[in-house]
Amino acid sequence: MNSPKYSPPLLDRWLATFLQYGTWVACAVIAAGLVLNAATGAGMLDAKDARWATTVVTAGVGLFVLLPILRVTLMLAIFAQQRNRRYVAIAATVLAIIAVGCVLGTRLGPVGG
Amino acid sequence: MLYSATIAIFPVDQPRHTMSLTVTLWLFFAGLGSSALGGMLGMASGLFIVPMLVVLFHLDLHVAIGASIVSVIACSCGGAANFLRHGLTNVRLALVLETGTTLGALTGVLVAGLIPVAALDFLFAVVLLVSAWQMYIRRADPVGTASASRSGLAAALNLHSSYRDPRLNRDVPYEVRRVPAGLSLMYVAGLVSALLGIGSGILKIPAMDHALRLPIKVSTATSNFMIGVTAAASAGAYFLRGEIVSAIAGPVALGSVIGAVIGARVLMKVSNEKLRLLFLSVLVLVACAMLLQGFGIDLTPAHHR
Repeated sequence: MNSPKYSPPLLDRWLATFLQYGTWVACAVIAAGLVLNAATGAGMLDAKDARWATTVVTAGVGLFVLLPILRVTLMLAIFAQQRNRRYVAIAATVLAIIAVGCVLGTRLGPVGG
Repeated sequence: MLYSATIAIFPVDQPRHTMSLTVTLWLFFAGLGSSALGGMLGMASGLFIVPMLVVLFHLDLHVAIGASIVSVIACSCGGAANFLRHGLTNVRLALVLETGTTLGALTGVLVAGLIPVAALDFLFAVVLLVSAWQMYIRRADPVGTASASRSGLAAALNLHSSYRDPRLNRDVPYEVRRVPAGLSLMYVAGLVSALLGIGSGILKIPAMDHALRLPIKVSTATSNFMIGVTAAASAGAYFLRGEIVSAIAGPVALGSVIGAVIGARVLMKVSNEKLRLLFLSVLVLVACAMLLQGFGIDLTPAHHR
């Protein structure tokens, strides 16, 4: 007898879809930047386009850094929709800690000198 | 000083904004190899990426950590979907524990500049040896079926849950114990993650197994889910202050995502005793390499010149 196919909760499904597509987009952006760089190196594009290649790779890296932060924001929104105040507060705390880390970390300057 | 070690990557006669194709390819394969190895072990890739970038590519430790932390996020996000769709991740518990890991990461960002590079090399070696020890003793599902407290923090936060066991084809209920103790251990894991650019999955195991008493499948999935946010807490600060060199982090992260997929597939097929011992030896060897690095002994001086 076949048992019914397992279906995870809505929150889990949304998070899975978001993280999967987010990973693909960030990978595609980095790959596009690297291809652009290779094309510049091979002389197929103008040398000044190399700057663009680095910018595109940086955007892809930034997207990866942003992805988990957006994931917590998505969780906050879903918990808010479910009127789960306790978890809205926990998600907001995590986001606040990350924000404080970014502000304080940036003010301290690079560790390498 | 930060960029001094990237001279090998960006030759002096080359403009800083261009990336050497050969080096980019090597970095891509370094990420792919490290991540495939990590994936085969069921670990994050960071444990191998940092030593590889420092020992073989002669990069500054902070540049290597910046590149590694991005690939750790990439692997966590890439692997999370599968665990979520199989109902193995406890997302509520992950969010609660992330308050501990992000606080630890915040501390790590603040103290990272104060700790000498040699001390970080030694700390890395210790984490590798702890990982080897974890591999040696192996993990087992926590025993004991005594019912958890109905009035504790776990009950108040509705953390008790169930996971889908594909073999039994039914939901297996489990209870979450000692959340405050788990949170304290997560703080330490977050701190080490920010300092060393690793996922710290290996340091989350004691918290997951001994404090929270989670089934292995749930703790593996929940730990992987949390790693992304833990790493992003420090990566955000490192990225904003320009410490992540995208020409290095980009190809390494891209290689890592592909490597993690390959590693996970191999893990399904060849998980045997010999493989476990081989990886245990690799971990000990890499730990020795990082110890030598900490003592200032260059293992590949010929490449350096």
